[in-house]
Amino acid sequence: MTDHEIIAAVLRGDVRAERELYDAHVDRVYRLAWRMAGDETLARDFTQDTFIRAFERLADFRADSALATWLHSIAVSVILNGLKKVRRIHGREIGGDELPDVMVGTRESEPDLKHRMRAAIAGLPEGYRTVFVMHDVEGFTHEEIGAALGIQSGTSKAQLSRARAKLRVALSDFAGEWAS
Amino acid sequence: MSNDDRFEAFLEREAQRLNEPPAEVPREAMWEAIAAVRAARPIPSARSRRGLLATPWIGMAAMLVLGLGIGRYLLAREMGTVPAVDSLAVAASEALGARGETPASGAPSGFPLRGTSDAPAASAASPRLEAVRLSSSMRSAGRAPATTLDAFAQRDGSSATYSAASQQHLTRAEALVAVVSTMPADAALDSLTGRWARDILTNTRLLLDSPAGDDPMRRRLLEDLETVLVQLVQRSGRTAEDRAMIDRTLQKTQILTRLRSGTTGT
Repeated sequence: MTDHEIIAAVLRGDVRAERELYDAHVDRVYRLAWRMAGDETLARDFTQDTFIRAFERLADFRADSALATWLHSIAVSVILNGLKKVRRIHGREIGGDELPDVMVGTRESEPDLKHRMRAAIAGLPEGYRTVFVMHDVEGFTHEEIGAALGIQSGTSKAQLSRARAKLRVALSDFAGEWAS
Repeated sequence: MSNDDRFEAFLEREAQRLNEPPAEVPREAMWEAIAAVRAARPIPSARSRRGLLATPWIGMAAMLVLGLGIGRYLLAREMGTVPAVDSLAVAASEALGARGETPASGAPSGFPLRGTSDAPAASAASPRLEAVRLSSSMRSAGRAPATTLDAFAQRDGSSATYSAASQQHLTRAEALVAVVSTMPADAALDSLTGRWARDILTNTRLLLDSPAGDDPMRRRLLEDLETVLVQLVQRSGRTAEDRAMIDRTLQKTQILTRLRSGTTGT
């Protein structure tokens, strides 16, 4: 079935079509949620919430973009809002409001590359981090990212470039790993 | 290959290893949760989602009635006779009634009238109007609502369904919080209680995003409940530090007391 046929069937109340739509897109949404949240419970919550919202708003879907793009835009919105909420709660717990910007430490204090990279990515500004994870980790194109985030694909490219530059500074201690 | 290219290749390679999702996606479990939530929620029609903007003339009529209500209220205030019935709310309810959003006469209102002078007339009116009248009559009689949920219900008759859903949800949440707070300090949450907390957390978030979350008092209670539940789900009380944090939050928010008494203040 095409996107158009699936949507029409879902709007008619066809449960099998709902499941078909879900099966066609759930893996990518779940992977993205996992990558961005780094937590199984949150990834599940975000994925479920994405599809619940998508089914509720399907009647409003205009075919000026692909169904996958539209779903990803909902997913990104759900994930970012959810993560903000989690961060707010954690901020309340530790008494701080904001996470620090890119974390730049010394190799001695944080010798593990994986750990440092995780911290550096987590410390990226939200827009940069989202573009970086979507493009470099999950393989979305700049066009897809632009459509999902409501930005121009050129902006997506620029944000990715800045994200990489920040990560390069944050990981400068490990230059030997790639310069050699 | 330039240094930039090498760095990009390195970054892509290393980033792939971070937050690597499991190979198997829990499709069935998530689908069941989605289906359960969707089955429990009313299916919104495209018309109701678009609201007033979809039918501009209804919106304009509602604004006109609202304006009349404000005028009547201000006039009454100048004359020193503020009407017992909340003019704004009544005007809004009349406007909404004109849109046909409220049940027809004879449909169950969910808000019994108690001794109001205009009860016969109100019995044929919308639930929202009845709620406003009930609320005003209680105000004039100097009676406070028995519980927060009563107050919610009285303040917004059209959300009776959400109030009922909230009440059920908060009762379940109270049971969970009571269980957790009576657990020994060195006990971790078992998987069943963890799942219970996760389910209640999901429903709390859904309620927050629904019209039930529009009420600021209810929202505060649900947000505090969400904070407690997130800690329960994420920390699970596995370590003494986790448990101490959960206990501190329980104490700070007084969530159990508030859930039991139905008060929402912090």
